[in-house]
Formats: sequence, C-alpha cells, structure tokens
Amino acid sequence: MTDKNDQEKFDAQLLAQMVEDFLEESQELLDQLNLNLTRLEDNPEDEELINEIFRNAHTIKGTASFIGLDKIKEVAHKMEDVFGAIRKKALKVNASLIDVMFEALEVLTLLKDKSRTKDPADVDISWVINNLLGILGGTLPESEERIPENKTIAEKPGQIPIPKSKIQNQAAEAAAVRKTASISETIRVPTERLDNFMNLVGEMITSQNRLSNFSDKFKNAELSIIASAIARLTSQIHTGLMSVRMVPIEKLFNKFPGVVRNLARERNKELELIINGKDTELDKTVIEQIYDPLVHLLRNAIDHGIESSEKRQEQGKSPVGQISLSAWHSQNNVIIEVADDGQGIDPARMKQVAIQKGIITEEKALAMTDDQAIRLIFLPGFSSAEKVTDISGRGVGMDVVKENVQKLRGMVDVRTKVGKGTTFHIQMPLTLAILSGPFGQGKWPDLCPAPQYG
Amino acid sequence: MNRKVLVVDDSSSIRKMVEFALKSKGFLVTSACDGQEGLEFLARERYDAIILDINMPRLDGFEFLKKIRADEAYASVHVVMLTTEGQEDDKKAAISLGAKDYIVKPFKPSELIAAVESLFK
Repeated sequence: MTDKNDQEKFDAQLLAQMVEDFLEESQELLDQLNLNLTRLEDNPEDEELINEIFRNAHTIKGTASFIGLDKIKEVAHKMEDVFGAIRKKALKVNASLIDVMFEALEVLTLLKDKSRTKDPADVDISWVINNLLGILGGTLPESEERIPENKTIAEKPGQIPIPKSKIQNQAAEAAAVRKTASISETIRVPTERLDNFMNLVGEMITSQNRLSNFSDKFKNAELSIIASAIARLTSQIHTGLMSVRMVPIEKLFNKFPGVVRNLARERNKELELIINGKDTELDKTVIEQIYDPLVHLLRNAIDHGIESSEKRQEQGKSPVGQISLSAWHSQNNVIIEVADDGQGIDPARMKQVAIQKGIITEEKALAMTDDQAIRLIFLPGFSSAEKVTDISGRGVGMDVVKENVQKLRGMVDVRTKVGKGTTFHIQMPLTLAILSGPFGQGKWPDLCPAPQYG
Repeated sequence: MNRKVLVVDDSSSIRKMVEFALKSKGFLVTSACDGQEGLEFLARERYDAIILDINMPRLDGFEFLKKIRADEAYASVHVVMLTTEGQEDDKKAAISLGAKDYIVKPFKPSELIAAVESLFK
C-alpha cells in the first residue's frame, strides 16, 4: 500500500463489506439469543445458558461497535452487563428481567433490520436502555472488577457438576452446528442471484418445450436425440436449482417459542408449545412468507383456543394448555399444522355471529353443515377488532391468513371439536419457483399455476 | 514463502474481514470460530502467526494462549491479541501471557496488516 488514498479506499471497502456480513451474522446471533432466553425462562439457574447469552450479547456488542452501529452496540452492551451481573450472582433471573431482555431483543431486531451503513435515526432506544438500567439498578453493590470470561464449570474448584440436561445437549448441538458451519465447504449466495438463475431456468424450460414440440413434428432421429438430451438436462438443472433453494424450517420455528411465550404472558394463559419436524425443508421464499400467517394462527390459538387454567381444570383438562406446531412433507407438498387442545369452535356460535354481522342470512345458516359453519371463519368481515363476544375475536385475521397462504399456492383448512381443540392445517407446494409458463404442457406440471382453493 | 496465519474469533464478520485483509497481502489464512477449534487446527498444521480474540465460547483467548505457551511445539508462533477499547488489563494480560502484540478493536484492516507484517521484520 504505497498510496495513502489507496489504503483508505481499501479500508473503507473492507469495512463496508463487514457491515453487510455483520447484518447477516447478527440475525443468527439474535435467533440464538431468542432461543436461549426462552430456555432460560425454564432454567433460570443454568450457568452454561447464562454464559452463552452473555457471549451472544458480547459478540453483537463487539462487532457492532467495530463497525460503528452504536445503537445496536449500546443495547447489546447493557444486555451483556445484565448477564455479567447474573454471572457474578449480583442479579437473579426472574420474569420481569426476562421480559426486559425480550424487549431489548425486539429493539435489536428492529435496529438490525433498519441499519444499512449506519444507525437508523428513527429507532428510539432510550426506553429500553432505561429498562435495562432499571434492572441493573437492582444489582447488589459490588466492585467494578471485570468478570473473568468464559470460565467453564469444571474449572471452578468445589463446584458440583450440573447433571447433563436436555438444554445442555441442545447447547452442545448448537455449538456443533456452529462449528461445522465455519469449516464445512459452504458458500452464501444472495437470494437475488438464485432468483435470477431461476428465471433463466424458467425461460430455458419454455425454449426446451418449443424444441421438443418442434422435434416431434420433424421426426428426425438426430434432432429428437438432441431434444431429449436437452429435456433431460433442463429437468436436472431445474431440480438441482430447486434443491439449492430448500432450507430447513428450523430457523423459522426457532422464533416461535419467544413469540408464544410473550403472547401467553400478555394474555395470562398457561401453555406449552411443542414443535415437531424442525428439519423439514422447504423453499426459502415460502419460509419467509409463511411467518406472518403462522403468528396469526398461534395468536389465535392462545387468544381464543386455550382456556384459562381454572376453566381447563373445571373441565378435567390439564391446567397447562398445549399448542403444537408441526411440519412434514407429503409428496410434493409441505404440511404445517398448528393445533391446540383448547375449547374448539362451536358451529352454532359461528352461525349466530355470522348472522349478527350480516355475512349470511338465517336461511342460509339453517342450510349449513357444521363444517361449513366452521369455515365461516375464513370469510372476510367475519373477524372483527371489537371483541363483542369471546368468539368474535376468533376470526381475527383468518381471512388474511387464508389469503397469504393462497398467495403461496397453498390451502388452509380447519378441524375442530368443541371442548377438545382446533387444528389449522396448511398445505403448500414445496417450492414457489417457476410460477408462470405456458398452460397445457402436461409434461411440465410446474409450469401451470396450481389450482386455487376455497 | 507465504506465511500462514490462523485467525481465531467467534464473530464471523470479523473473521472474514481479517481473512480478506491478510489474504490480499499474500498470507495464507485459516479461520477458527473459537479457541477449541483453534487448537485443533494448530495440532494439524504449522502456523507462523495467530490473530486471537479474547471472549469466545468453549475456550477463550487467554486460556488458548496459556495452553499454547505451555507447549514447546508452538514456541515460535507469534500471537497478536485482539483487545477491546478501554480494557487496559487485557493488554497487560495478553503480553504477560506471551502475546507478541495486541490490536485494539475497532481497528482498520490496514492497521492489522501493518501489525502482522511487522511480526516478521
């Protein structure tokens, strides 16, 4: 570097790239934080977990400060301080502490989403900083000495080793995943490039179809050999590219324990969330777009499905409600189900509400089967922001859920049993890629839009 | 001859930046995401220098440094520690544990290059 200008340019270029890398890296760290905080709530004394959260916050703080994202740095720094105090046993984990941590996490996510090359000006962090300071204000007075970092439990003499719990296993798993991620031969590619690629493959399939049709007409041996070779290769490229776009649904599902936890707290419901099929793979775009509908369904289950603990006990149910979120593959579809063991949907009440709201006439209601009545939930206008009755809120956003799922060429359905619970069933094609093309080419069903349901 | 550098840091964006900076100067660079992985790499291959972060999961920078300084086989490997602004004790600890130099974060890529190049002068 002989020229000073060159050197400055070089530095600026590398640091700009680093900001981009950090915004990507921080999403992973925030996901880890989210998961770890959720686990901490069930295991408030787990030192390994506390250490890990401390390190998550520390890494975010360190890198954000490196590249001058001061707001992220400040919030992460205060979180680190809180967990530093917990490690020193100057603070204890309790529900309000965890609440503030989730608030801080939300602010960090917002900052991350809005930061490009510098701090977003319109995100206010003072309130969350104040809340964090409030928590730190509750620490027992202690000297300002720095905490020794990353002491493992085994190194502290006289400490009884904690029995290896599930959480620790999961932590070890996470560490193993992180480790492979850094040494295995993978590359990250912007989705945009894959999309461009996908469009080209779409064009290619169209041209290849024309070639096949043309060759069928000409009955030329050599031409048909070439045409079928091209057809085979195109099909292989298509399948290969689709598989590149497939990612496990795990990253998305890992967000939900935190979401559900917050909602349950807000609504004063006791429940547990069971997640199945985390490693189910589907198209990245589908994963991104299914988040909102799933949050709607979970919120709905918490608001209106799961009853209060008292009510559940009166009915001889376990006081803790259960919501399960499951995903699996079925042929070329992926199925996602949100099921609760709550009060179910009463078809008679559905009809009543729909009549009140003028969505259906009384005659029509009489002619309706129970199944049809329950599906009224998906009609626009059925849901209402005002909670006139406990059932009126049941449909909040359900028409939107249906619409969003249909945009993904999927369908959503509901099964319910009064007093037993409700299951929402979403079925979607594995991949969104290549949506449009000539109709009627039976050989390439992918080229035809799938039928719309409902 | 191209010198080999091992970068040990748990932040992937810092790792990438350091890697890129050093590679642009012809160094051969390998990255590890924590001290434990760093030790594994070190056992498999000979390195001329190590860029070492402090706070990392599993095995932190100081513990890592203690371990390699206790091993004759790694006596000739230079260590540059990445410290954080304001943590004066870290700098002293790094040097007393056997690091050759330290760089305070945030640093510019060119500063890092200068520090690593001066190790071999």
